[in-house]
Amino acid sequence: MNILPILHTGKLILITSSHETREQITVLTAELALRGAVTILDGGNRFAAYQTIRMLRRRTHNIEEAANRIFVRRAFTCYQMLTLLENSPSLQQPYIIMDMFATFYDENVQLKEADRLLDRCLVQLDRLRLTGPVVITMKPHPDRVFLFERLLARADHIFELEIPYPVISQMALF
Amino acid sequence: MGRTLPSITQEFLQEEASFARFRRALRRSDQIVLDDLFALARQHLAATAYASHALPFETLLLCMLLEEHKEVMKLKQHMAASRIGNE
Amino acid sequence: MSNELHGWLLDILPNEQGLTIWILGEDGKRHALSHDFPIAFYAAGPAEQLRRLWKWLQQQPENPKLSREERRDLFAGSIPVLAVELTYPSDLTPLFNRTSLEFPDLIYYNADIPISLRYTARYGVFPLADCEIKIDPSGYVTDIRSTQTAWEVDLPLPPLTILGLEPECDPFHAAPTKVFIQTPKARFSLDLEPARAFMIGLRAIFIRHDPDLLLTAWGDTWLLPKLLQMSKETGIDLPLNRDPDQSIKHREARTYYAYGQVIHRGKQVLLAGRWHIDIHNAVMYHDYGLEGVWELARVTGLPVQTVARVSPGTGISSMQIVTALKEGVLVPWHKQQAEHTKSIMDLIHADMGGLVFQPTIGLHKDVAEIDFISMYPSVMARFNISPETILPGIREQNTDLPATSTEQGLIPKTLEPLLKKRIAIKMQLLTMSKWDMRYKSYKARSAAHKWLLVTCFGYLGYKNARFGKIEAHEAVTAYGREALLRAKEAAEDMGFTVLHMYVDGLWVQKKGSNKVQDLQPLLDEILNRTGLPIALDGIYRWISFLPSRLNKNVPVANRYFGVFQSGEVKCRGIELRRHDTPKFISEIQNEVLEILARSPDVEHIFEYLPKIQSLIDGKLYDLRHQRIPLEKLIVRQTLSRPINEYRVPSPAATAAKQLEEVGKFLRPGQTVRFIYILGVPGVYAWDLEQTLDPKTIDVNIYKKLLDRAMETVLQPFVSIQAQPFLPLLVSGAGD
Repeated sequence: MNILPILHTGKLILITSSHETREQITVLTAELALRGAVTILDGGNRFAAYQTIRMLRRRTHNIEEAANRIFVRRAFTCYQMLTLLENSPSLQQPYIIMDMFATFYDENVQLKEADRLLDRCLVQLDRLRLTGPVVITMKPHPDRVFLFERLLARADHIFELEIPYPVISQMALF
Repeated sequence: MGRTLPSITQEFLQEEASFARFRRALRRSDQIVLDDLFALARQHLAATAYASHALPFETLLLCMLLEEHKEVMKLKQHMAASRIGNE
Repeated sequence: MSNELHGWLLDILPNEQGLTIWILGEDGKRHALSHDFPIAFYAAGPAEQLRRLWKWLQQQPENPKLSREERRDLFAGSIPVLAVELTYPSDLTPLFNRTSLEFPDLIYYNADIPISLRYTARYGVFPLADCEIKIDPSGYVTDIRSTQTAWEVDLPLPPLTILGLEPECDPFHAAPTKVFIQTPKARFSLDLEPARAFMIGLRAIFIRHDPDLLLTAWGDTWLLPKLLQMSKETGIDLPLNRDPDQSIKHREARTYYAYGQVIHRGKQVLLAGRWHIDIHNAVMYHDYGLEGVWELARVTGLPVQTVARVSPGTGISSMQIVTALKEGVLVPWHKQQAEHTKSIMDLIHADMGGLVFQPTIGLHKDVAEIDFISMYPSVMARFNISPETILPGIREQNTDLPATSTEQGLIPKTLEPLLKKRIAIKMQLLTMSKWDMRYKSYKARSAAHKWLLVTCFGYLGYKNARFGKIEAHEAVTAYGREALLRAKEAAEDMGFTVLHMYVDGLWVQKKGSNKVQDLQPLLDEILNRTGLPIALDGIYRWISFLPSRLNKNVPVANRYFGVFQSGEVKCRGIELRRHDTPKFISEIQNEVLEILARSPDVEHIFEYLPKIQSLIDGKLYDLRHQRIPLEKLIVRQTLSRPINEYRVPSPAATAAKQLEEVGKFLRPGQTVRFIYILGVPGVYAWDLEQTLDPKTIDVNIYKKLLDRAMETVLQPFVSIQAQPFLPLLVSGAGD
């Protein structure tokens, strides 16, 4: 997965996977931080700060400077995710929205309500990508596939990460 | 709202685990010494957490050094005491 | 012309026309009074949408009174809102539900506030309060006020009538055949069969005593549903409700995840005009009992039978709502506040809990334990930490602590009187004799306060908390860490060695400092440096900090036991504190600690070891000869997930499966009880109704558990004896 070449203003890039995408996002965040500011909106409460810094360490000696270009905001409910998007300024910088739907999968949130909130989130995503690229990661949920499908319809690029091939047998020694 | 970052203990265990390959290739006798070093660092997890250094492992190395130096000072004192005793 | 009535407020219930206020009068009678009580909810949003809402509301059958007002949002300040006022409080919920469906994008306030909280905020009265009530000739309340506040330390309890009902045995273990009845004067039993006779008898008791409180065992989950069913089958009416116009309310069982635990709440049966409390379905009942329930009702404003059952957070949230209502602050329906932008380094600095140090492993003499009193709530009150007072990105001068605004915040305002009351009771308890009539009540109320205060901090960071905000939550921990470090510095400056520190407590030692007055200068200095109240928990004759079970060189925080100078034992993190330890084991461990506590000092402890040896020998003999009652061998474990999700079935899952096979279904969060037996599968669920042959007990497992528990409490003393004492003590015994 190499997103950097296609990461341009106006683009909405969707990364979907049924497993963990933290590692990829960590690398991407570090790469972006070398070039300029980047903002993470974290919906899954899983932003890996230490790993990101370790990634930076491999790429630069000036960790502090790069680390200070990474900004984080967390949402713990879908209402907060909407609020985050609504009051995120339009910047000429990339936004990475991690686990965008994690809070939408809360079973206390009715399907109709989730759909309504998504509507309003989509308006904000369109606003944000006018000035900078937006990368979204998400895990599809079997009971709430419509969220995924609606986002899919908006995306310019879609990366579907495969589950890593399981190593069944040991490799031949010779 | 649950915490986002791993606790310092989790972070410590991860750092220790990241040296699994290194440890494996060491002699058994050296493995024990390495484990000791990590156990020493573990005594200062609260300080390591409070330091909130970007790379906690750097602080952990300092913790190992600190405990090592404590040991050296203790031995020095011991030596000095026994020298006086012998005089 | 109006009448006056003097009495205690029992309950507030919405009826068709307003409210029914239940009063236990000075005259000893129960009065059901009516009170008009119009209530309002509010909507905010774009003006055009509010206009549409206005038009729509005008056509609704509830016929609400509409007006444009300016009201205060905690974060946004004064905002224009549409006020929707309803004459009858019971109309609010149905109208609001339709409104929010029709206009989902608006922001709503005061939409789901329990009626009792609105009433408390408006009139300053609270459950069990002593009240003066003015009544007009048609029986309507025209004014009500309390002669007390909930913050007074000694509030007399009204002369309540309590009726106790308890089946003879746990209905989930075996089918009860009779019910014990406790009236104010007598205790007797009624056979459940024949049903008619039972119902006639019980009905007579209800009518004769007309209790204010029905106190049951398994009333929610078994007894009351059973009584209702019997009433239907026999056609004999049982006046469970005192209020004939109201129905009995049922709430379904639920399982939820909170504070890192799966929690199960059984179904509930709630009465009108009198209360029902099921001691097995009440929160923390074992900790504070009825005294605690009364106190919680008073300080939170929640109805007695509700407060007995509420989940953690609801109590403190209710107090915050009352404060907001009193201050004219809007209570949001959904929390909207989101996190401010942080850099990754800010995140690393902020996202951290309390400081947990590693203790110095081993046995220490003359150690003082000092604790900050309710540290986190004190921090919130002292440093004005509240979601709306945190100034994001700004630090207090010369520190790296988050700065707060000067106007007192909602949370500190809520906490202040509670903290004052708690400290007043705690101070009284310090000097009160255990035989003082107030002692038990003070203890229970102190436990109830503690529960509220502990929850308050967690609730500040709870995602759905109406008045929560992550920055405020983080600020509290930052101030907590600062306070602990300042305390450490003060102790070290004064020549103390700090052996252990744990979030809000310190264990310190200094040669020659083993009397209460020796510690006072340190306490004063810490108060001076932190501004937070701190107290001496006690001075240990000796204390042992234990290492990890897996690695003897690794210390573990908060795992210790010791003996105070008073001879009282204190322990944390060892077997007898764990709820899954069989009684057999925890009782012996406790006895061993009590024996150790008899030694005047560490040096003489070895003299007590033979006594411990014979205790263990005796218990092992009893175990081998089936002389231990089976109840004491029960292991209790909580199911953390559905049974079929256990990949390797744990003993608990295996036991739960056995119960499932006989039609007893357990859900995550519920406790399964079992006994280790010989053979496959090695466990026997206690609630299978057949009796268990004591010969099938797996003695070796219990012996192993005992070995472990003994090692925990005896290992610190092994080095005192020249020869290894421990193996002889446990493993060697009788083998």
